[in-house]
Amino acid sequence: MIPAVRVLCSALVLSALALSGCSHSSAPAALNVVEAPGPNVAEAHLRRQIDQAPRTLDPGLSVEVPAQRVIDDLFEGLVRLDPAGQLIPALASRWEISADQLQWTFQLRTDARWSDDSPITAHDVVFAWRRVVDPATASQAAQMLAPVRNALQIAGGRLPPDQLGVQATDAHTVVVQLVAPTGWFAYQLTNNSLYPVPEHVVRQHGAGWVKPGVMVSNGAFVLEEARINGAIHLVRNTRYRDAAAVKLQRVTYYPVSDRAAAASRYLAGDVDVTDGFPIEDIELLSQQLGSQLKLAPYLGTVMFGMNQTRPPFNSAALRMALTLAIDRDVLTTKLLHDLYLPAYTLVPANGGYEPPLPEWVQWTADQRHARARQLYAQAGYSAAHPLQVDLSYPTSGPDTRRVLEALTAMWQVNLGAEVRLANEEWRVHQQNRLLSVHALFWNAWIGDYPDPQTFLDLYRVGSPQNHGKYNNANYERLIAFGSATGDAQQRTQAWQQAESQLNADAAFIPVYYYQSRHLIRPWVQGWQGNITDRHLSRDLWLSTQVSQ
Amino acid sequence: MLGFIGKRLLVAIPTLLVIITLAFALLHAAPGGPFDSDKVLVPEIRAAIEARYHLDESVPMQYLRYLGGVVRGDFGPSFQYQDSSVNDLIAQGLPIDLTIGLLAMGLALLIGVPLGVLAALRRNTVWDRAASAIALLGISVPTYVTAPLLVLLFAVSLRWLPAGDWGEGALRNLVLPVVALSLPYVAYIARLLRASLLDVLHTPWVRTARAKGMPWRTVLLRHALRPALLPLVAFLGPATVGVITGSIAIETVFGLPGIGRFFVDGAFNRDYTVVMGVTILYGVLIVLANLLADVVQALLDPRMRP
Repeated sequence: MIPAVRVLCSALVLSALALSGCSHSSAPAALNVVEAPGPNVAEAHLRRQIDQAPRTLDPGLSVEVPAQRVIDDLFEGLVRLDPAGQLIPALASRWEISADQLQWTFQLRTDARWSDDSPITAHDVVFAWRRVVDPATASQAAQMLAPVRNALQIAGGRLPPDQLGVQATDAHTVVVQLVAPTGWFAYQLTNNSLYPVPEHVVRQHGAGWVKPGVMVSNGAFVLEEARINGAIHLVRNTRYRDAAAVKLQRVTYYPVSDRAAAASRYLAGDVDVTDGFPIEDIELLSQQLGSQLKLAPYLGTVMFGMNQTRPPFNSAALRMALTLAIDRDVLTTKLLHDLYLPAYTLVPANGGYEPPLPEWVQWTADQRHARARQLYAQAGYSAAHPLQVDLSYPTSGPDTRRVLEALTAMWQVNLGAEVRLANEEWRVHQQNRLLSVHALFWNAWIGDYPDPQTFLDLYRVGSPQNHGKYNNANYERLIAFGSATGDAQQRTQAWQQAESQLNADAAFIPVYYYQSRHLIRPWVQGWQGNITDRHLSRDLWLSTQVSQ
Repeated sequence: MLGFIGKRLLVAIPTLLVIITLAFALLHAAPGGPFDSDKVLVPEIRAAIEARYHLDESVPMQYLRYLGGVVRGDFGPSFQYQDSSVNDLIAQGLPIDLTIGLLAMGLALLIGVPLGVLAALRRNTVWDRAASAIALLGISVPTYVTAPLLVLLFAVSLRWLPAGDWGEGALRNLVLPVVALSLPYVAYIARLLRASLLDVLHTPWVRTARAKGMPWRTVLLRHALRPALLPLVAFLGPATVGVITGSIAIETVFGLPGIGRFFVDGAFNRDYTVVMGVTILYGVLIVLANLLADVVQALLDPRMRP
């Protein structure tokens, strides 16, 4: 009993110390930061925390980031992203695109082998893609193959899987037919669902082919052991086509869904890389860890959607008034500690794409607020007759709530609008958004690949994501043109013009862009922040020569 | 006794049926489905997936299909963990919860029983007050507070133990979750035993035993402690199930792959089969634990024998 009391009392004192350190910006005595590499470094064993347990390790079923992290180490597609997030050849050594841009021909490396030493052929690629769209597989990733001819018809059960627009013309040549010119198709190939799978193993073991001891893969690592919701152990794949370039011997993924627990695991020296940390700990962590905190722009945008088919948001003036009345800089710097970036457009800057900023970005806050009040009045609202509306948002942590309270306060102060917060359980929110129940709602989008198209599609007529029912003929025309043109420059121009149209119509209220945030030990080398936040373990290594 | 056990097990069947039906109805009444996500599925793909999992059938049909599976011992596929069936998830997670839960309960008894006895025997002394203070602290500080504090102290600050992970059940990985989970139970057990022992110590038979000169040790162990344990045994049945199943905070803080997280994540993700499977498992465990508690009570107290 006495030890129990002592433990508890000491822990209480320590936590009080830690908390006081946090609020008074002095270094807390309770934390003891790892300064020296542990034995795992000499063993070339990288330990990574991930946000959730992967729901699957089957590339054909993978639709989420935690699964993607692990699958990116286990499997390799035709192309891959390098540490900077640039596309480079992988299983395919080269590819050609036909003049009409509808046919892509990939030459596979002839030396690539599965981890059981059988050769990787074009048939494995064809088998994998057909499997993903086959309704019997029931893969949510099926729509990633939408650009490929007949994919949606097959997924809907109207055509057999062998009608998919992909053929193996010989053992090492894959020919893909697309529905329409798709400039970003090469990026789409980095999606897990388009990775090859070993036909001979999948046919033999069915759904159980991804179990440890059974799985055969072609990535830099192979699966040694895995527990759902528990640690996933990978070891170096000696048969990987580029095995000589892989420096790590082992990689372990630890799913920890609680960000505070993830930070504790890092501080305790149990992991070398985390997939996040709690916002509220930013000051404490940055004091303690300094450059071990890594932030990088990420391909995601948080915005508010508005139902434009009915009052009050069928008024463009009102939509613009709400857009202008919020101070994004204040929000991201004061409340979010610069962990997010202020957003003025739909698409975050990426891969050479610069979103067109609206004119009002250059205005002073007073100018913006004055114009907002003018538009608010123009829409028919005043102090006597204020806008009264609910802002629906899904349940999440206290951070979201704080942000939303700040935003509604800005609308209240700058316009006099009375925006009430309406919290909904996540699935309830999703369903209501799908049914366009909300007038004003929280919305966030993470791009599937670094091309503006993955964002711009959201506001097309008929897009299942167009919850606010935005409808503009010029926008449709620009997107259709951008999708069809083979000229990269023309496409970028079309995307920029389309974004300008969205901005002019205040089709949504941009709030902030995401940034990826990680804690990374100084001895983890090769890490580069990139817009897709994908970091293959094959590109990382551990060095005892620590340089901060 | 065997007849009594058999009868109780028979009564458990309709109880479980009610649990299954209620859980099924509540789950399906909740808005949203397992395949709703931010990235809305193309309708034909959604339809194909729903057909694969029989979600396109009417709810009564799904219910009957599910019951049929349960009777055969098949809890169906998980919608969320696509590589696994619910049976796989339970087979993987239950041993972890059992290990942590039973060790925590063992530890709680090991500390709580002497603490309770001490408090009762040294009533109104500093021992009693200290034991009561510890008990009060244990009851009022929830595990989601004590667990991170233990991590902060023993993992982050002192570096004696890992901050989490199952580590294939290694002792060093077990210490913190077991201690954190046992603390409130130490408190409950100590308080419960103190109260019941105090009651028993004032009964005529204890007074008689002492008056006729029986050694104090015998009085305590044979005549006082045995009846005083009865309320504790009644508490231990459901509490053991609680400690096995109720370690969701512990699982989250320590990143343990037990079934508690499947249950909670399953509810958020509308993973109907997982939630149903774990609900049934919990139901069965509670029925069995209560039965066991009744049997032990009957062994301790002849008046309670059927």
